[in-house]
Amino acid sequence: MALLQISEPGQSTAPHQHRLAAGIDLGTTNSLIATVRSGEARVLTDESDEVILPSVVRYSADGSCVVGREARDLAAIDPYNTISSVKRLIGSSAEDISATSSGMMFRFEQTDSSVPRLKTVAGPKTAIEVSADILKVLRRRAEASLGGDLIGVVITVPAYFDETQRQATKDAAQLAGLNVFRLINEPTAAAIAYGLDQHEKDSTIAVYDLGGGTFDISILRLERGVFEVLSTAGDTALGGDDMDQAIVDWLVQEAKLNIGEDAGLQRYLLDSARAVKHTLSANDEAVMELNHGVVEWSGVLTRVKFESLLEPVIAKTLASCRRALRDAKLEKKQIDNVVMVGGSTRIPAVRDSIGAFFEREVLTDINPDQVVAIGAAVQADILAGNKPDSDMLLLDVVPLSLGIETMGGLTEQIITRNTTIPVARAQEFTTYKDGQAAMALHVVQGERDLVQDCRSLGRFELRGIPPMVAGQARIQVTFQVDADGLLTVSAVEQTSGTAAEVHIKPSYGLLDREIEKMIVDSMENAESDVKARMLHEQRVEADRTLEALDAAMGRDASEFLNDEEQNAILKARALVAEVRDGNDGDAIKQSLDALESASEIYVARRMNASVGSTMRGKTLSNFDKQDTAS
Amino acid sequence: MDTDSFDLAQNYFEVFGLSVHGQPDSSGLREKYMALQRRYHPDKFVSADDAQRRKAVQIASFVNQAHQTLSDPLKCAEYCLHLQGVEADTETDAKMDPLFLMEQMEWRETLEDIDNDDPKVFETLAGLRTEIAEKISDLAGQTASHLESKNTVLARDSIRKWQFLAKLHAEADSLEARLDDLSG
Repeated sequence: MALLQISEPGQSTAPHQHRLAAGIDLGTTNSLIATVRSGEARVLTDESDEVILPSVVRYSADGSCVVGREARDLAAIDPYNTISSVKRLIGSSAEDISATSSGMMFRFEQTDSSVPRLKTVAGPKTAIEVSADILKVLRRRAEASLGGDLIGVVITVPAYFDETQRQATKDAAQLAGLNVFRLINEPTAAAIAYGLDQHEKDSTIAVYDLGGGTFDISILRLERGVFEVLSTAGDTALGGDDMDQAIVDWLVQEAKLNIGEDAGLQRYLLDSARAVKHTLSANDEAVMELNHGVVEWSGVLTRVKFESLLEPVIAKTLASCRRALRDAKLEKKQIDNVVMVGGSTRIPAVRDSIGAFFEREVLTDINPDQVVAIGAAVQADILAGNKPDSDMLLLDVVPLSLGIETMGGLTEQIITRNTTIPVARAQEFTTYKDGQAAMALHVVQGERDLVQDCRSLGRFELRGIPPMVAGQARIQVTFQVDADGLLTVSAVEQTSGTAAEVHIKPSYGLLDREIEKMIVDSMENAESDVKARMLHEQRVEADRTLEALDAAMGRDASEFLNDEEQNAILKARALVAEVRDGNDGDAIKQSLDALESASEIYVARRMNASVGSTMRGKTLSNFDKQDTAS
Repeated sequence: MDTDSFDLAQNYFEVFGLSVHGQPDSSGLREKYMALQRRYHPDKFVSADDAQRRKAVQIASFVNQAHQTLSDPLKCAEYCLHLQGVEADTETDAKMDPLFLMEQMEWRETLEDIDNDDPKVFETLAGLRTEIAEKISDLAGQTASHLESKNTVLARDSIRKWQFLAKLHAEADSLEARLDDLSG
């Protein structure tokens, strides 16, 4: 214990100045935020004392949105404007989505951009934007309850998240005005919450995470402060929802019900199932009384029967556990600790089965819904510098190998899987043609030999190579992975001594960083005064709209509009330009609305011609993102 | 804490305060490595200015690279040779001891001929791996003494053989993993 603290000159490390930091569990079904106060990690509640924020966002025609319980409860009546499980989409390209989203409640805009946009009444929304809306609510909650601005956060991501998914998560945080200290893996966060990193001895930890709709099992190795993910397995469509459905199926059978197309009854039964599930976690039997419309039934569900209904779900998770152990090349008895995460692990039958499988007591002391957020909060507190004596250091590894495409569609690995980060690796490449002035490089992630089996992260072009004989140029490509696992690639032609230029275009079509920053700066960091913020927003909106409109009209106004129509738009445009510099936010908004309706016909025609199809309805301003991002 | 005192032009041994150029003791290396990471890891600089943060990423990357190189016997030997002014991997001469090449080819054939249906497939594979491992350990010993006497020609020759065998060993490992998957 330090009795005297001496800080370096110029560094203001006043001993009791606590820096506000938080940990965020941005989940598929639910999200939470936690912080360390007086040395103890605690989850933060909203004004109605709710800890859990359902990861559901409902958009309205006026562009506003509600997040959480209220949005979730309205999902049934407004399914297409209510976005849930957006985490399943984050970091995905349009191509990925057509492969994975079948059967999900998502409608996409048809755009020529590679970044998929969800169709809502408030305009097209990317998964990044939807995630940012969830994060904004958590941020507000934290700042309201801590009474100040957060200086930084730690956000958790699944261990299997690849480079693009991590980058997209970080982008969402940035868009929500959050400074991300670090992204950490969810199972790692759970292990930190239990303080497993503080044990002297090396250990192997299994983290069993059974949530509402997803199941993950991760095997971690903790060696003197270094967490290494040895393997992960799971099922992205398995969880508490399947248990609820099993109970509903049983009810239908017992009460001889016919649900048919009755969505209301279906929902009622699911709610009843959820309730009885909770009752049976503490009791040996539960009396069920159904009373919905014509349905009237009562009966008893015993715990024994309930457990037999769960059996298939548990059996599936155990199969994944076996796979994860095999991938990690470990035996069950080599696992030192088993950590339980996710609401469904409250069910005694789940705990018992997993304990029996691993032949040891499972760790359940920390609320399984909160354990990930709590671990993230502990890490955030350390990173914020609130625990200067802490010796803990989280060294992460690259989850998947990073490489480059070489001749013949083969992958050349530059940074191999499980390399400790941060790391920088350089490799030399050369030209294959005489006088070759440019080189296209394709960055990929994955373990497979063929590029087509790996994930494409981006393509970049090296221009300005001086004319040389084939094989003479020495192009050094450097991969730098930072502590979050995020990659930067640079390339230099060495023989000529002149640095060549590199352009990186992430394949999933990241929004223009500058635009994002502008939005964040203007909206989130503006004066708290509502009017001032509104004015600011409207100005930004006006600028974006004008810029977008000008770009579009410069391209094809004469193709779609006659002179009279053009003049009408230009007149409305002039009004926006005029009031934009004034101090009346409402006037700007009105002028924008007028411009909106004046350009309706243009938008419609343009869309019909499927040119710039994001320029639609209310969201006239949105087509600029695409124009500037490409 | 500051990053200015760290010299990125040091060699990997100097990073860990080692004066002898050779395979270091692994637990001692690990300890020094952790001490450096505790001091320079970017997590220790989250609130520092941009320049310090960038430098911390560079230092931590450099320390990781140094640690990975020195803790892998083959990479460490290649690096020692490099410090003596000779690169192991130049493709200018492919001259190899013919006897060694013959032996190589035989092992490779054995590996290719391994039959999934052979009930003794795991024993055969294990035998081959032991044989390769023994040969590697011989070569490591030779390399170390050549490096010590600064005989770069002989050192390079044994490192090149070692590289071949390391590749073969890795192939045997991945074959075993594939067979494991089939049987599991």
